[in-house]
Amino acid sequence: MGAPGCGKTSLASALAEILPPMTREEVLQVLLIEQVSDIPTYRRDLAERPFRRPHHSITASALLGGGVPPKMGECTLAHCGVLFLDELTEVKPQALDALREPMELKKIHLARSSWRVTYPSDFLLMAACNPCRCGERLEADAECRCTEYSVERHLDRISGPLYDRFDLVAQLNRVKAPTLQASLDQSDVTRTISIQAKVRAAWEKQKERCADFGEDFFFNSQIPIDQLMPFMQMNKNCQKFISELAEEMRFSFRAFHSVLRVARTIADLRAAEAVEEVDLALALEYRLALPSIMSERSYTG
Amino acid sequence: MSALISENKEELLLAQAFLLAANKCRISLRDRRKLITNARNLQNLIQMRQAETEEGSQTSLREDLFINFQISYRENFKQLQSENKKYPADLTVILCNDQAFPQRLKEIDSCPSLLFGQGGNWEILNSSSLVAVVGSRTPSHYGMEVTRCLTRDLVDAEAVVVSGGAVGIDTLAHRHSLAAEGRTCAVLGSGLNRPYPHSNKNLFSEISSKGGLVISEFLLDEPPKKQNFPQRNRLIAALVDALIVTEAGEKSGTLITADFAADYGREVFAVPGSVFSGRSRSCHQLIKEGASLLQSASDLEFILKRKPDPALSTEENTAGGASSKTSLSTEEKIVLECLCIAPSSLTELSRRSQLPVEQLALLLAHLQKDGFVDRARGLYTACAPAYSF
Repeated sequence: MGAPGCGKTSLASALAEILPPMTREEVLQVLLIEQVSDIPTYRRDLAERPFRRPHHSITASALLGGGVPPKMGECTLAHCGVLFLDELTEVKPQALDALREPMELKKIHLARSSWRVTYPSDFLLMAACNPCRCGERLEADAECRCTEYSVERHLDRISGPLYDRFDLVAQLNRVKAPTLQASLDQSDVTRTISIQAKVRAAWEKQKERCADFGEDFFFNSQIPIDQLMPFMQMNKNCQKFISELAEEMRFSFRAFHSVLRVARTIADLRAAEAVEEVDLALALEYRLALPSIMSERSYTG
Repeated sequence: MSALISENKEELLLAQAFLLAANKCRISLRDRRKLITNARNLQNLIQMRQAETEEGSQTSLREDLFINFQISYRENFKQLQSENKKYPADLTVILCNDQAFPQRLKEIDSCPSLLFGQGGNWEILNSSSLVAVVGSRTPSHYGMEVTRCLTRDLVDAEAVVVSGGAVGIDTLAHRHSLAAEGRTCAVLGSGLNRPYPHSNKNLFSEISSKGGLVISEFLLDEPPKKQNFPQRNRLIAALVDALIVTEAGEKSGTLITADFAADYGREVFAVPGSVFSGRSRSCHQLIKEGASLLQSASDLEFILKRKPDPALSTEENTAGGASSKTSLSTEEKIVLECLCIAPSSLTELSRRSQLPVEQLALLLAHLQKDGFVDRARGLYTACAPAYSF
């Protein structure tokens, strides 16, 4: 979320580059989907993950699939890859909310009177939007011209349950002139490669750990709630710290667990065994509450 | 109970018919007040002859104008009765000759002839200290913090907080006085049956149900017209002993309120802000023009019935867990110092404080937990207690 031109879309496109390549099985699944749906592949090599970026005017059935005979929707085409919705606040609310089930189940059951199908849809949902109509709301040195009412209407298109499902909400701010200059001077190829390596290492680590626990999943996001705590390996201080903060920030059940999982992943990225306070603090940075953008401040304080 | 409501309703209709007729015949506020005083109540006014008026309180109305007025009054009343509109049961009317009519309002020339109220608690407008807290509709975090601390202190000192019910500072003033279990009064620039801003509808019913009052001098279904708001501002200025502008940028409407307040001989206070940001420009202008500079509620001592409790206000200033934590680490102090200058994002803060992002995130989480820092609009912002370190 951030002001226009601050780099949301570029950042999103960069995600495709840092994701590790697909496994053999995934490659086969994706190839199958591409064959069945008869869309040309835009991927540079077989192991590259799909990156789908439909226009924001998309309808619910184009997103989920449907028609006669049944066709796959964007969330199936993004299987094993990324579904990127730019201008999230412009997408029809019905279409957005339809995403909730496939996100939870990792597949989608479509049913019409004449046919029934189940398509896989295990995708990473990524979205970008402006915080308000003028886009300046989160900037420190710009004046937002929007009224509270218009901000509310703008953000109302993202339903609470959907927003709650985003594990990371990154706030982007405009960069200052010196940084802009620096961005022209240095080439980012080396950095991309090092990030790529880090992500791959974290990815492997998660797989390994999950295998140690004898589970058939391998991402932190898939750890069942009752097994979350042993995975975290937090000390007493950390536990106290996060429970105090959870109370202060009035987390929902899902939000609390999401913070823990994100913290686990951040710890994985720095190749640490145990989750520490720093990881939790950084994870909290990625929970930007919608009401805090809409209205000025919680009034009860 | 039903009798009360129907009686109430007739009163509402009479009052509206009176205002409509008076507007149509262009009767001045002064003559309106005299008409009501002479007739004692609105029911009498329908039948009364002008000759019956007492010596010395003669209105300047010509006989034919008075008759026109009365005809129009009756017609309007009949029409309103036949329309049979539904009004909320908690609406009340008060006439300028009523005992409970705000005494402070009577002092001004442009005192309205009657007021509509949501909630019947009119005596709060005659309590010993009334203070208006007004300001920008788009306040900064600093303005919000000032309003919060100040309103809490005012409620502690048993003052009634009056404001305009608008978004921003006004809403905060009402909200915080409700949260501190104080009584508060909102003065609207539209009819009570059509409260503006609509988003504050719940706030207004909460005010009236918790012993406060929402008032308006306009017809119940009057839309929020542009010209109504300066009129509303004059009411706010007239109702109170002191007016406080907590934060107001350039060309703020609060300047109008402050002008009225100065005209009526009310104390005007302005809270200063940073000279670098334009957010407090109107406050600074007011101070230049002779308004008093307000630093804390204790500057209002001579107006307040009860002194603001020093113990309470220090606790307020080092809110929450902050009071238990007396020493901050050097890094924490650096962070607070940076944030006191301007709210900023994590990366910007890291650039300014020269601290790594990871360490900052941890420091900020701790500071947030202790009530020194808040995240508003995605930016980390210093809260009131942070400034005293």
